Amino acid sequence: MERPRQKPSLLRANPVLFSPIYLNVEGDSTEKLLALYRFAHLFFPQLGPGIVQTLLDMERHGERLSAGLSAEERLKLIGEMKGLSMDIQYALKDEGKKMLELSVHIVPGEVLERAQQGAADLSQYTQLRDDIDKVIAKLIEKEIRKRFTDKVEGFLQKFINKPDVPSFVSQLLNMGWIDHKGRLTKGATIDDLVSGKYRAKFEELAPEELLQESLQIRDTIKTCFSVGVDDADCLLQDAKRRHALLEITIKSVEKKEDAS
Amino acid sequence: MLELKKLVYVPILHAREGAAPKKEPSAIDEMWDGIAAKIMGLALPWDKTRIYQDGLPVCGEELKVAERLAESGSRNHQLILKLVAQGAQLEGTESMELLLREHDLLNVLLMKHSGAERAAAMAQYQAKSRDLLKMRDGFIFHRIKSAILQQDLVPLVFMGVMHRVDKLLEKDFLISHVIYRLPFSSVEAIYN
Repeated sequence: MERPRQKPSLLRANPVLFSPIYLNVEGDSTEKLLALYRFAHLFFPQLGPGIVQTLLDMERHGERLSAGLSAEERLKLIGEMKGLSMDIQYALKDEGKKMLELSVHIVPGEVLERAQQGAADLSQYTQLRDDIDKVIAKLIEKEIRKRFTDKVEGFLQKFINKPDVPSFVSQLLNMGWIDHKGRLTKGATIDDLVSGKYRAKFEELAPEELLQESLQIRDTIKTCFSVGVDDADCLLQDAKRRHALLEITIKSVEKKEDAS
Repeated sequence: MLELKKLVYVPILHAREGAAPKKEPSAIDEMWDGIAAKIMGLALPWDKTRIYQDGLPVCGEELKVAERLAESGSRNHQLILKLVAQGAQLEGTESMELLLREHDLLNVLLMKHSGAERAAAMAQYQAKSRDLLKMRDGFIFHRIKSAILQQDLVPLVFMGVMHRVDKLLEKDFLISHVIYRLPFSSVEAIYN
């Protein structure tokens, strides 16, 4: 019998109220996710909430259904649906290759049970939306790291293909960090080079420009991608900042109007 | 084929620009240094450059507003003043009425202090501000288009990343994004 694929669940820790949701994020192909992110913001500006809303609607629909059933009938129906599950697959493909896959796994009996208990509250809605956004942001970050790895490898390959291989590249080769095609070997990651266990050696060997760029990229990822995908506190800080700017702007304009 | 006019678009971040004094430059400080260097590197004809700024109303006192915001520590507005000193002209960009509506929405949000109330207010704010943002974008787009298209001017647009004015402008202008280093340059390479 085929073993079911392990699916990381956003809600595994506390699968209450919502239908169980599983996001498949283990796929290797994250190519074009940046473009997807941009696209999603244009056409589905509330991608995460949109998915959550669909599920909430399902829950609400479940409530309406259960309202028309007596307690006995409901219990009977739950019993009859025991073991029954339904999977909805959202798959985004690039020339046939899956880029992003969202599996919604629904157990109708559980939905009916929870509908009986009451609708989900807003904090859980917000939590779920944030969880989905974080997963999407992680995928994008993964893609960016991959691109930067390609950039470093491209940089190293240029030197490897030269007749006189520079000494720092030879040392990286000798230490087994890169192979003869300039690719980072297994176990030597960009993070290792720029901030981890190999940092001191990388600083010593790599050109300053490359080192600086790698550190900047890391900081930019940390800074920029945390905006909008962090917790509610981040959104609130952003709101406060914009409010402060608007306060100054409005007061400046009001002063002028008072003077005239 | 009609040649499109050039427009320089700078996506900006408001968030994480702390007001407290800092000993070391933050990533946001570095970002603004990087943006400033890139803009200076463009060598625009400053006397023909018109600056459009997110959150700056059409009010006749645009420069004074920018000065006050620069004094408050805004790196964005400090850069604008430098560009004005080079000869660029700052233009009123947004509808005051729409900005006041945004301000009211933020007021309602920030008045809530308990966690549950604030979460509910945030959801309401996001829903309402989304529609308002579309209206603001429409106003900004018409403002830029009407002022620039008939003249030999170069618009330099600083706009928050949540705005989508660039998408409205791209039909009439050849947009050049000034984006500070990777990863955003990767994004640009993909969708441009």
